[in-house]
Amino acid sequence: MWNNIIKPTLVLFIVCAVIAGALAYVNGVTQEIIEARTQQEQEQFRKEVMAEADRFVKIEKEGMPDKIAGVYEAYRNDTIVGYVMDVTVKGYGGAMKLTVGVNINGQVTGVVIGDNNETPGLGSKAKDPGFTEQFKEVTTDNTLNVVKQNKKSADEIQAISGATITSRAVTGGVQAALDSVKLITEGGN
Amino acid sequence: MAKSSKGSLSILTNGIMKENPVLKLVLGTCPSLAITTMAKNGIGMGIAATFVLLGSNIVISLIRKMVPDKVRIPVFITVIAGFTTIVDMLLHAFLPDIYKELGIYIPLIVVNCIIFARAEMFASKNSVGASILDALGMGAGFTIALLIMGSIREILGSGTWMGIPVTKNLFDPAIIMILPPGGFLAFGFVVAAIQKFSVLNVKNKEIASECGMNCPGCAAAGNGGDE
Amino acid sequence: MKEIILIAIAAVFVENFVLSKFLGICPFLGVSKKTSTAVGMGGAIIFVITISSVVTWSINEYLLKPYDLTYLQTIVFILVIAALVQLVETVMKKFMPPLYRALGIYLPLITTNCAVLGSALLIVEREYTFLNAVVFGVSSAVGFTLALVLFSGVRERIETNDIPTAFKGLPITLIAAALVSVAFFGFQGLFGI
Repeated sequence: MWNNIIKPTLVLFIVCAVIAGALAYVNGVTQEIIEARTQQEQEQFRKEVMAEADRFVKIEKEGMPDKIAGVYEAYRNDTIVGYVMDVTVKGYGGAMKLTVGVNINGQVTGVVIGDNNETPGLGSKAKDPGFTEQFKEVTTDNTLNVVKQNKKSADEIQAISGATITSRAVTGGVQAALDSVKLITEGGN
Repeated sequence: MAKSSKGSLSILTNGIMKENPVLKLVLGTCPSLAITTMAKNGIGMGIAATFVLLGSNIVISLIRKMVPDKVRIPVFITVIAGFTTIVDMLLHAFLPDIYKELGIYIPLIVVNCIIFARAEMFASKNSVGASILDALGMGAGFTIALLIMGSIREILGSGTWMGIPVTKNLFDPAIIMILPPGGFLAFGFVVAAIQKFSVLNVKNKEIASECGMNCPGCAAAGNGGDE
Repeated sequence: MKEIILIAIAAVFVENFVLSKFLGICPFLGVSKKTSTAVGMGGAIIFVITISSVVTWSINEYLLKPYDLTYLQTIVFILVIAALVQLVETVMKKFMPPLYRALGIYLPLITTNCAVLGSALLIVEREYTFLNAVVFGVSSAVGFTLALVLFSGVRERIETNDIPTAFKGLPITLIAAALVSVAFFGFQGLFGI
């Protein structure tokens, strides 16, 4: 009884417990480092999408579209020059993190794509300026849709060849950012 | 497997040449083909796998006399999975670029036949010291194989090596080398080259085709080729 | 509905587990010599991946995520898969002896198969819903089987050819695999995927 059932089970249990404990410890340590680095990266992205701003202040706003993960007021010398949004969308390979900057005139100042699992060589091309620059002509007056052929207006975003799902996801994210800026500027004051 | 017949140096070099896990034993082929699009990735994966191999060989060798035969396999799996997860977390925190490049293949180190096979065939039967040497040898062999494949694919496919352009004006890179078919091609040609120049030609072919289908078979039977 | 079809087609053709993602290479190179064994292996994999997709998805969704234990994914998944294969083997041996005899050899091989753990991890990474997860799992396994069966046909042909000594055995197999992989690469961009 001891040798056949109890001892094996006990040994296995102890091994699992020790390993689980070790993992919990390493996880605790590494998570902090990862968090700190993510914060740093995010701040850098914000500067990238709104170069004229010198600082960002996170605000809480109710009624934001689901995709919006965070809203930041962008200041230059104490005046608000625009808003930067952290947007999470569902791409082809899972969650994609976008940072979208919209100035107070309602125009997109920049789109940066962060963490993603898109296909290398296809969906990953969404990071290229060739794709993201398209969004810079867009304002809160536009309603975006993705097209496969050459775009004819600011409303149309040309998809990356072979990566329609990724293109649609990013476009949806930028749209959500625009909608939320509209809510902020028209809602409060 | 008599311990005294293997000197320390021969244990170490065993994994690099005679029983190179990828090129001779045909184990661990999944990551070998998947991440070798760049030489740098090859080194990264090689070191990560060596870390797991080292950790699991040491622990399994330490507890080898206390683990009843019945739960041998779940215990091995748990230990290997534990070290794999630790490597995953460490890479995420300290080497995020490599972490992103290797992606899903880091957790897949746990099913890398090499590690399980060494645990079963060596660590569970030998002293800690010998197991450390075995892990280092096999790990080095794995890393070298990955480096060779990664270098070939990167030079021919992107014209660079470790990110440094090397074939600027010689020829246009053949993109196919960094795409999936290129992986098979590189592997095929490297093994062919080895088979051509290897003294133990016939013997190695047998080993290659047997272990190729017997990863857990190797583990379960303890000496490969039973099933 | 459309999403499900796209996931299935992508998993079988565009992102074939063996020829595109290099998951499941060991059995691919070792087992695919005869078409009948290839089909057997494929069948066993489809069976195990389907069940493991359901179980690992559920464990992740209801146990790991709510309690912030997602770092235990690797270790929990592989133990679950090992246990599952063991269970399937035992059940088959008892209740379906002829099927067990046909598939029997291949079942233990499946535990350390990159394809099974790989599909579980991909499902979690891509945050699929339950239905999508199952579709993805089954389709990936079907794609795996397809690659295996196609390749066994290629290999049966190669057996009778005159091959230079250095290339005999593994190398020529790999080069043949490269060609099949190129063929599948042609599926990129299918249906705008």
